[in-house]
Amino acid sequence: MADKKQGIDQTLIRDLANILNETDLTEIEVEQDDLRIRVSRAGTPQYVSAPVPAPHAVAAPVAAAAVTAPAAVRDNKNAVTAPMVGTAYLSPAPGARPFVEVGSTVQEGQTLLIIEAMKTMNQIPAPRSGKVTEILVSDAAPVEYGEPLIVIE
Amino acid sequence: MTGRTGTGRLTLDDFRHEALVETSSTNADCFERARRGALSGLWITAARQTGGRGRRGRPWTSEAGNLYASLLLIDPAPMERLGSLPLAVAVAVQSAISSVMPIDAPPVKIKWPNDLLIERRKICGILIEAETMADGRQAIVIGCGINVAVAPETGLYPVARLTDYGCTVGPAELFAHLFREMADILRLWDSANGIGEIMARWRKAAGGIGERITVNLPTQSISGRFVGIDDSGLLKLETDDGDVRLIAAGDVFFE
Repeated sequence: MADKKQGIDQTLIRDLANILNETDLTEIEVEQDDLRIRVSRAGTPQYVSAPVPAPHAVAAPVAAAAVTAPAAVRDNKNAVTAPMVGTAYLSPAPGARPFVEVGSTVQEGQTLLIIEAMKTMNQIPAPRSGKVTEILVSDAAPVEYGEPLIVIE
Repeated sequence: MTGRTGTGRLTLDDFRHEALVETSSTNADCFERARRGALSGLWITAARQTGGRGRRGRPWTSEAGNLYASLLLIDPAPMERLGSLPLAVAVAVQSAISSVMPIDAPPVKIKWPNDLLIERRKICGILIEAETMADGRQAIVIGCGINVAVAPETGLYPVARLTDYGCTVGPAELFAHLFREMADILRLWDSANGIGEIMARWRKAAGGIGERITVNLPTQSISGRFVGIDDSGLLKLETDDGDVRLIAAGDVFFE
């Protein structure tokens, strides 16, 4: 959030990228104030400020509080990664309290989230004790093998 | 040999059964026992459950008259092989139920990945959960709820009970079949070419292959033709634009 005024709004782009992943769309284009942003799967995201025809207008509200860290998170050694392909669930049931939140202190072995694959509910435990500093997946999102999920510092 | 070896290979002697009258959830009981050091092969059944659960925390109404059974496995296989376990379990439960049905009853069909249906009505739910314990062992619990004499409405799918189709055996006798079929399938699953044979049996008992289905994913719903499963058990859905999508989790609806 803190980097909001430093040129491009990274949070917005991240949110769009998350929506892209969640919905399996190949491209999203939105207009906010005088800025127009297009996020596309085909290669690197493009930032377009010139008016272009908008093929998809995305009206869905931007998912709240997805990823807010300013630092690079991709190669974070402290990230717990997905041991399988499946669907991530951050709470034991829809509408229930999440297993952990940013700022939660967790004990080694505590359940961080569930990944469902082939209707098997796999509880993903904390590999060590620490503090949750980032949650990189949204609830009910598909995850790939090795994808970083939660950062514990 | 026991589950302690880490290979997970079980013999018939490793399976034990504890029958409870009432408990909250036989799946929860199995995990509790695993945390206290129980070995692979423990079955817990209950005549009634007060806190039975289905997928995504949905309650599983568990009145007396049905079978509620959970099997604990410890380190049954490396993670990458576990994907085929739900299909193996479906094949075992399908065999167990089929063996207590009258010869002229309609067939018991598997709905991907592991629901069981008679005439498109759900008669059994299977919930498999996995947890890595503090000592690093992985506990897998296979929970089966089979509608023998009661068919609680879920609102999600049409439901039925085995007695609707002429079944005259009770939960205890059905469990004896389940116990044997599950031991057989797990031995097959552990054997060198077992998974191929399990997939073949699964396809033979599956309902809806070739038909149009809708799959509800967490954030979207997609329709297409159910063309089958791949060798790891993922559902292959051919969408209207001709793409084939592989699906690891979702609720399937026949059209």
